[in-house]
Amino acid sequence: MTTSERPPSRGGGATLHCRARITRRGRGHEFHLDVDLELAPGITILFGPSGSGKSTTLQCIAGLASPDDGYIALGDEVWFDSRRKIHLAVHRRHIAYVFQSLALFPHLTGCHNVAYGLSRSMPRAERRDIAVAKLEHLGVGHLADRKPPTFSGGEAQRVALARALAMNPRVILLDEPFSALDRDLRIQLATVVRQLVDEIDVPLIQVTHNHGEARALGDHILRMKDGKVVQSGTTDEVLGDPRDILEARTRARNAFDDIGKTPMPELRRK
Amino acid sequence: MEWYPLQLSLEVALIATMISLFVGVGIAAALAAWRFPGRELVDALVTAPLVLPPTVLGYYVLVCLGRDSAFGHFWEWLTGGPIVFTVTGCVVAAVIGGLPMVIKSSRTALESVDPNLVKAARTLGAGPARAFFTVKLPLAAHGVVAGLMLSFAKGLGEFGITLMIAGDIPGQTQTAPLYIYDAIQAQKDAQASGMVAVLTATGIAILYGVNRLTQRNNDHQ
Repeated sequence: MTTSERPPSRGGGATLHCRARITRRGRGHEFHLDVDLELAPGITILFGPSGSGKSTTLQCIAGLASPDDGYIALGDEVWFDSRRKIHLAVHRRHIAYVFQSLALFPHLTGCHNVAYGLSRSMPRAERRDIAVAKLEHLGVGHLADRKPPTFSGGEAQRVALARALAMNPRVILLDEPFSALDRDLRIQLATVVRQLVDEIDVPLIQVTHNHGEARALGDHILRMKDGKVVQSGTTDEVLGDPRDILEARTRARNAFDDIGKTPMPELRRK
Repeated sequence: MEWYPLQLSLEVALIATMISLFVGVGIAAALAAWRFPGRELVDALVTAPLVLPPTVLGYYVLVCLGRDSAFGHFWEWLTGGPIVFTVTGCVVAAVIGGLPMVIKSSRTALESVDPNLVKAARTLGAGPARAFFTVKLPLAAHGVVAGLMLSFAKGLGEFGITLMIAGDIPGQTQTAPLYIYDAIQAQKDAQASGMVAVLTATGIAILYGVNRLTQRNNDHQ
């Protein structure tokens, strides 16, 4: 993927480097995460079953979790280095993180939720204008003065996305943000995300286990399993692979349909 | 019925509640946020006044803050007067009685705030302090307020510790509950009954308010 074709923007174009090793001991089992990722501007999909370390990887990048051993840097700005004891605090990394639960502040209006991430050196009125504009951009301008408990699932997801993107993030992390949506809404929001990423030219890492979403959005896909990246490449390289679950599932379904079409006596004879 | 004891009790309860707000919420926030060795031991220590006899608590206060104690000397050097057998002693007694309520109630409310909301605030550029004051504390406000109301009610009715460390000096440290005790001892039942009615009504009104507050919050969730 080339970045030179895109318009330059604030902090745009920098590559995120993340090398992280974590061991966590739970009841009766051990979890090891061991990844080494180079994430260029554009959309990277972290793809894999639950428990494969996708969310933990995002948390390390955001600074919400610390690797036992590792190195995380955006361009030449080091965020974490276990050897040099560097740990840049979460709130200084300028990361847009959309949680699976969305984590909208229930006591603040849609507008105040979005304005929360804007610099407080900015006048209040200006912050409000930007927040409202961002909400409108995502088609939820009417939620500016309402509070999250009254939002529908799709509305909440748009507000969460607006809040994450309003702060001019340097890296965007999406933890299965569209999982609760129906197919049409998912495609709609995925389109918005695509546009925004092309505009601001930063690395976006999205966790998903949805094939359609991965295929529609991903410039690059990393398949994770048991805390390791087991496959890495372009969307077609990874998802077009015969190991693909969807195809396996389709084949299984076809096989099942065939069984249905097969006359019963023949079956018995087998 | 004299009004001074009631006025004194109200003032003492109010000041004690304000002190409990800062001290109690501070301790509750530390207990809710940090996992340190002996955390539950600290929790047990600060909430022990709920179950210990007032005489035991009064004894500790006399040992720690009495005129012969190091802090007692410091306080007298600072303010010119002792803590024990003064209105300050009444306030100390009310704080000790009411603080556990504030800590218990605030800690529960703070711990029930979705940790992802605080994490979200942090990723949006808020430092730990801003995340606490703009997200965690407002979302736990119902629990903090309920704790403060209970601590106010407790301060108003505080008897045992007050008797131990502030004495029962009419016109000085004689709070409303002590006034009732003295009136009954002197067989002036009419005087006692008025104060009994006032304290009963206030206590029940506060409990009713606390129930409404927590009920409303449960409905929201």
